[in-house]
Amino acid sequence: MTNKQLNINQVQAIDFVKYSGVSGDFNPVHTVPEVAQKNGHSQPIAHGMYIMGLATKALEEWYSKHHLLKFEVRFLSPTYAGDMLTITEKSNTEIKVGYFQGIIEVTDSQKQVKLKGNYELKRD
Amino acid sequence: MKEEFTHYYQSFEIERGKIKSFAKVLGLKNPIYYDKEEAQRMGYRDVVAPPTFPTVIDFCNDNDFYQLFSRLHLNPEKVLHGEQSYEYLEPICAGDTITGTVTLERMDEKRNMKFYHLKTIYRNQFKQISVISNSTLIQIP
Repeated sequence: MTNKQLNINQVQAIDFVKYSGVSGDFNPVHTVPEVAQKNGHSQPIAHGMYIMGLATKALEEWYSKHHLLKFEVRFLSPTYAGDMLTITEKSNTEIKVGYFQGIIEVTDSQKQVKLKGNYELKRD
Repeated sequence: MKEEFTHYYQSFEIERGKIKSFAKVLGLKNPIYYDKEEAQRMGYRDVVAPPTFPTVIDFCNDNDFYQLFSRLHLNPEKVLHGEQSYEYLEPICAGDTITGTVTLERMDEKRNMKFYHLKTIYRNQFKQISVISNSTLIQIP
Protein backbone atom coordinates (compact mmCIF):
# COMPACT_ATOMS: atom_id res chain seq x y z
CA MET A 1 0.00 0.00 0.00
CA THR A 2 1.17 3.54 -0.71
CA ASN A 3 0.50 6.33 1.76
CA LYS A 4 -2.06 8.13 -0.38
CA GLN A 5 -5.50 8.53 1.08
CA LEU A 6 -8.32 11.04 0.69
CA ASN A 7 -11.27 11.30 3.04
CA ILE A 8 -14.49 12.57 1.55
CA ASN A 9 -16.94 14.47 3.74
CA GLN A 10 -19.94 12.35 4.62
CA VAL A 11 -22.01 12.01 1.44
CA GLN A 12 -25.55 13.33 1.74
CA ALA A 13 -28.81 12.77 -0.10
CA ILE A 14 -28.51 16.30 -1.48
CA ASP A 15 -25.22 15.28 -3.17
CA PHE A 16 -27.12 12.64 -5.15
CA VAL A 17 -29.71 15.25 -6.11
CA LYS A 18 -26.97 17.61 -7.29
CA TYR A 19 -25.22 14.85 -9.20
CA SER A 20 -28.50 13.89 -10.88
CA GLY A 21 -28.88 17.51 -11.96
CA VAL A 22 -25.42 17.97 -13.44
CA SER A 23 -25.11 14.53 -15.02
CA GLY A 24 -28.66 14.33 -16.37
CA ASP A 25 -29.11 10.87 -14.80
CA PHE A 26 -32.48 11.27 -13.11
CA ASN A 27 -33.02 7.61 -12.27
CA PRO A 28 -35.24 7.98 -9.17
CA VAL A 29 -33.46 5.13 -7.36
CA HIS A 30 -30.80 7.78 -6.57
CA THR A 31 -33.15 10.40 -5.18
CA VAL A 32 -36.63 9.11 -4.29
CA PRO A 33 -36.74 7.01 -1.09
CA GLU A 34 -39.91 5.08 -2.12
CA VAL A 35 -38.33 3.97 -5.40
CA ALA A 36 -35.12 2.94 -3.63
CA GLN A 37 -37.14 0.94 -1.08
CA LYS A 38 -39.20 -0.76 -3.77
CA ASN A 39 -35.91 -1.98 -5.21
CA GLY A 40 -34.56 -3.39 -1.98
CA HIS A 41 -32.54 -0.45 -0.65
CA SER A 42 -33.16 1.14 2.71
CA GLN A 43 -32.65 4.58 1.13
CA PRO A 44 -31.50 6.15 -2.16
CA ILE A 45 -28.17 4.92 -3.50
CA ALA A 46 -25.40 7.01 -5.00
CA HIS A 47 -24.83 6.94 -8.74
CA GLY A 48 -21.86 4.68 -9.44
CA MET A 49 -20.56 7.45 -11.67
CA TYR A 50 -20.64 9.87 -8.73
CA ILE A 51 -18.33 7.56 -6.77
CA MET A 52 -16.09 7.16 -9.83
CA GLY A 53 -16.03 10.95 -10.09
CA LEU A 54 -14.92 11.25 -6.46
CA ALA A 55 -12.16 8.76 -7.22
CA THR A 56 -10.93 10.99 -10.08
CA LYS A 57 -10.85 13.86 -7.58
CA ALA A 58 -8.42 11.84 -5.45
CA LEU A 59 -6.22 11.01 -8.46
CA GLU A 60 -6.19 14.65 -9.45
CA GLU A 61 -5.19 15.82 -5.99
CA TRP A 62 -2.42 13.24 -5.73
CA TYR A 63 -1.15 13.62 -9.29
CA SER A 64 -1.62 17.22 -10.33
CA LYS A 65 1.31 17.07 -12.77
CA HIS A 66 -0.06 14.02 -14.59
CA HIS A 67 -2.99 13.23 -16.80
CA LEU A 68 -5.18 10.17 -16.98
CA LEU A 69 -4.76 7.78 -19.88
CA LYS A 70 -7.12 5.12 -18.62
CA PHE A 71 -9.39 4.55 -15.66
CA GLU A 72 -11.37 1.38 -15.13
CA VAL A 73 -13.51 0.60 -12.12
CA ARG A 74 -15.82 -2.04 -10.72
CA PHE A 75 -18.72 -0.98 -8.54
CA LEU A 76 -18.84 -3.50 -5.72
CA SER A 77 -21.47 -2.25 -3.30
CA PRO A 78 -23.96 0.60 -3.06
CA THR A 79 -23.17 3.90 -1.32
CA TYR A 80 -25.87 5.48 0.85
CA ALA A 81 -26.33 8.94 2.29
CA GLY A 82 -24.39 9.15 5.55
CA ASP A 83 -21.52 6.94 4.37
CA MET A 84 -18.06 8.27 5.13
CA LEU A 85 -15.88 7.45 2.15
CA THR A 86 -12.14 7.02 2.03
CA ILE A 87 -10.20 6.72 -1.18
CA THR A 88 -6.99 4.74 -0.81
CA GLU A 89 -4.24 4.02 -3.26
CA LYS A 90 -3.26 0.36 -3.01
CA SER A 91 -0.35 0.39 -5.42
CA ASN A 92 1.50 2.57 -7.89
CA THR A 93 4.16 1.37 -10.30
CA GLU A 94 6.14 3.27 -12.90
CA ILE A 95 5.80 0.91 -15.87
CA LYS A 96 8.08 2.95 -18.09
CA VAL A 97 9.60 6.41 -17.73
CA GLY A 98 6.76 8.83 -16.97
CA TYR A 99 3.97 6.21 -17.16
CA PHE A 100 2.30 4.91 -14.03
CA GLN A 101 -0.22 2.19 -13.22
CA GLY A 102 -2.00 1.96 -9.92
CA ILE A 103 -4.90 0.51 -8.00
CA ILE A 104 -7.31 2.48 -5.84
CA GLU A 105 -10.26 1.60 -3.65
CA VAL A 106 -13.17 3.53 -2.24
CA THR A 107 -14.33 2.17 1.11
CA ASP A 108 -16.76 3.27 3.81
CA SER A 109 -16.07 3.51 7.55
CA GLN A 110 -16.99 -0.20 7.94
CA LYS A 111 -14.22 -1.02 5.40
CA GLN A 112 -16.81 -2.16 2.89
CA VAL A 113 -15.37 -1.71 -0.59
CA LYS A 114 -17.58 0.40 -2.85
CA LEU A 115 -15.31 0.68 -5.85
CA LYS A 116 -12.06 -0.88 -6.99
CA GLY A 117 -10.21 0.74 -9.84
CA ASN A 118 -7.10 0.60 -12.00
CA TYR A 119 -5.59 3.70 -13.48
CA GLU A 120 -2.88 4.64 -15.94
CA LEU A 121 -1.30 8.06 -15.76
CA LYS A 122 1.28 9.91 -17.76
CA ARG A 123 3.48 12.60 -16.30
CA ASP A 124 2.98 15.90 -18.19
CA MET B 1 -23.60 -14.37 -27.66
CA LYS B 2 -23.05 -11.65 -30.25
CA GLU B 3 -25.76 -9.05 -30.50
CA GLU B 4 -26.31 -6.62 -33.31
CA PHE B 5 -27.18 -3.40 -31.59
CA THR B 6 -26.01 0.16 -32.15
CA HIS B 7 -27.20 3.37 -30.55
CA TYR B 8 -26.19 6.79 -31.83
CA TYR B 9 -26.11 9.68 -29.42
CA GLN B 10 -27.14 12.96 -30.98
CA SER B 11 -24.05 15.09 -31.60
CA PHE B 12 -23.52 17.08 -28.45
CA GLU B 13 -22.05 20.51 -27.98
CA ILE B 14 -19.78 20.79 -24.96
CA GLU B 15 -20.62 23.90 -22.97
CA ARG B 16 -18.33 25.73 -20.58
CA GLY B 17 -21.07 26.16 -17.95
CA LYS B 18 -21.95 22.47 -18.03
CA ILE B 19 -18.31 21.53 -17.42
CA LYS B 20 -18.07 24.00 -14.57
CA SER B 21 -21.17 22.79 -12.72
CA PHE B 22 -20.21 19.13 -13.22
CA ALA B 23 -16.68 19.72 -11.87
CA LYS B 24 -18.05 21.73 -8.97
CA VAL B 25 -20.45 19.00 -7.80
CA LEU B 26 -17.59 16.48 -7.78
CA GLY B 27 -15.45 18.95 -5.82
CA LEU B 28 -12.73 19.01 -8.48
CA LYS B 29 -10.24 21.78 -7.98
CA ASN B 30 -8.14 21.91 -11.14
CA PRO B 31 -8.60 25.38 -12.72
CA ILE B 32 -8.58 23.87 -16.25
CA TYR B 33 -12.26 22.98 -15.63
CA TYR B 34 -13.22 26.51 -14.64
CA ASP B 35 -10.96 29.05 -16.27
CA LYS B 36 -10.49 29.31 -20.03
CA GLU B 37 -7.25 31.31 -19.79
CA GLU B 38 -5.76 28.80 -17.40
CA ALA B 39 -6.81 25.92 -19.68
CA GLN B 40 -5.25 27.67 -22.68
CA ARG B 41 -2.09 28.36 -20.71
CA MET B 42 -1.90 24.56 -20.21
CA GLY B 43 -2.24 24.02 -23.96
CA TYR B 44 -5.95 23.26 -24.31
CA ARG B 45 -8.41 24.91 -26.70
CA ASP B 46 -10.79 25.85 -23.89
CA VAL B 47 -11.88 24.55 -20.48
CA VAL B 48 -11.51 20.78 -20.32
CA ALA B 49 -14.17 18.17 -19.53
CA PRO B 50 -13.36 16.14 -16.38
CA PRO B 51 -12.61 12.41 -16.79
CA THR B 52 -16.14 11.17 -16.04
CA PHE B 53 -17.85 13.88 -18.11
CA PRO B 54 -18.75 11.54 -21.01
CA THR B 55 -21.66 10.38 -18.85
CA VAL B 56 -23.18 13.85 -19.39
CA ILE B 57 -23.07 13.25 -23.14
CA ASP B 58 -25.04 10.02 -22.55
CA PHE B 59 -27.70 11.45 -20.25
CA CYS B 60 -28.20 15.04 -21.43
CA ASN B 61 -28.71 13.84 -24.97
CA ASP B 62 -31.65 14.02 -27.33
CA ASN B 63 -31.08 10.28 -27.90
CA ASP B 64 -30.24 9.65 -24.28
CA PHE B 65 -29.21 6.60 -22.34
CA TYR B 66 -32.79 5.90 -21.28
CA GLN B 67 -33.78 5.53 -24.91
CA LEU B 68 -30.98 3.01 -25.22
CA PHE B 69 -32.39 1.21 -22.15
CA SER B 70 -35.83 1.09 -23.64
CA ARG B 71 -34.47 -0.18 -26.97
CA LEU B 72 -32.80 -3.01 -25.00
CA HIS B 73 -36.08 -3.53 -23.04
CA LEU B 74 -34.34 -2.63 -19.80
CA ASN B 75 -36.08 -1.08 -16.82
CA PRO B 76 -33.57 1.47 -15.41
CA GLU B 77 -34.69 0.71 -11.86
CA LYS B 78 -33.59 -2.91 -12.37
CA VAL B 79 -30.21 -2.13 -13.84
CA LEU B 80 -26.96 -1.88 -11.90
CA HIS B 81 -23.79 -0.32 -13.22
CA GLY B 82 -21.25 -3.10 -12.70
CA GLU B 83 -18.13 -1.82 -14.41
CA GLN B 84 -16.95 1.28 -16.20
CA SER B 85 -13.73 2.07 -18.01
CA TYR B 86 -12.57 5.07 -19.97
CA GLU B 87 -9.61 5.33 -22.25
CA TYR B 88 -8.60 8.93 -22.97
CA LEU B 89 -7.11 9.65 -26.37
CA GLU B 90 -7.86 13.33 -26.96
CA PRO B 91 -9.12 15.94 -24.50
CA ILE B 92 -12.76 17.03 -24.72
CA CYS B 93 -12.98 20.82 -24.45
CA ALA B 94 -15.76 23.40 -24.34
CA GLY B 95 -16.83 24.25 -27.87
CA ASP B 96 -16.26 20.70 -29.12
CA THR B 97 -19.05 18.78 -30.79
CA ILE B 98 -18.94 15.16 -29.71
CA THR B 99 -20.71 12.21 -31.26
CA GLY B 100 -21.07 8.90 -29.45
CA THR B 101 -21.76 5.50 -30.92
CA VAL B 102 -22.71 2.66 -28.61
CA THR B 103 -22.43 -0.97 -29.59
CA LEU B 104 -23.49 -3.99 -27.62
CA GLU B 105 -20.33 -6.06 -27.60
CA ARG B 106 -21.66 -9.02 -25.68
CA MET B 107 -24.55 -10.12 -23.55
CA ASP B 108 -24.39 -13.02 -21.15
CA GLU B 109 -26.57 -14.50 -18.45
CA LYS B 110 -25.57 -15.72 -15.02
CA ARG B 111 -27.90 -16.72 -12.18
CA ASN B 112 -30.99 -14.85 -13.39
CA MET B 113 -28.92 -11.78 -14.20
CA LYS B 114 -28.15 -10.46 -17.65
CA PHE B 115 -24.84 -8.72 -18.29
CA TYR B 116 -24.73 -6.17 -21.09
CA HIS B 117 -21.27 -5.15 -22.25
CA LEU B 118 -21.49 -1.83 -24.06
CA LYS B 119 -18.74 0.03 -25.85
CA THR B 120 -19.08 3.72 -26.69
CA ILE B 121 -16.75 5.56 -29.02
CA TYR B 122 -16.79 9.34 -28.66
CA ARG B 123 -15.45 11.35 -31.57
CA ASN B 124 -14.82 15.07 -31.80
CA GLN B 125 -15.44 17.53 -34.65
CA PHE B 126 -11.98 16.71 -36.06
CA LYS B 127 -13.09 13.05 -36.44
CA GLN B 128 -10.57 12.06 -33.80
CA ILE B 129 -11.55 9.47 -31.22
CA SER B 130 -11.56 11.36 -27.90
CA VAL B 131 -12.64 8.68 -25.50
CA ILE B 132 -13.47 4.98 -25.57
CA SER B 133 -15.85 3.81 -22.87
CA ASN B 134 -16.66 0.25 -21.84
CA SER B 135 -19.56 -0.34 -19.49
CA THR B 136 -21.11 -3.41 -17.96
CA LEU B 137 -24.76 -3.10 -17.03
CA ILE B 138 -26.37 -5.79 -14.95
CA GLN B 139 -30.07 -6.45 -15.20
CA ILE B 140 -31.32 -7.88 -11.92
CA PRO B 141 -34.56 -9.89 -11.66
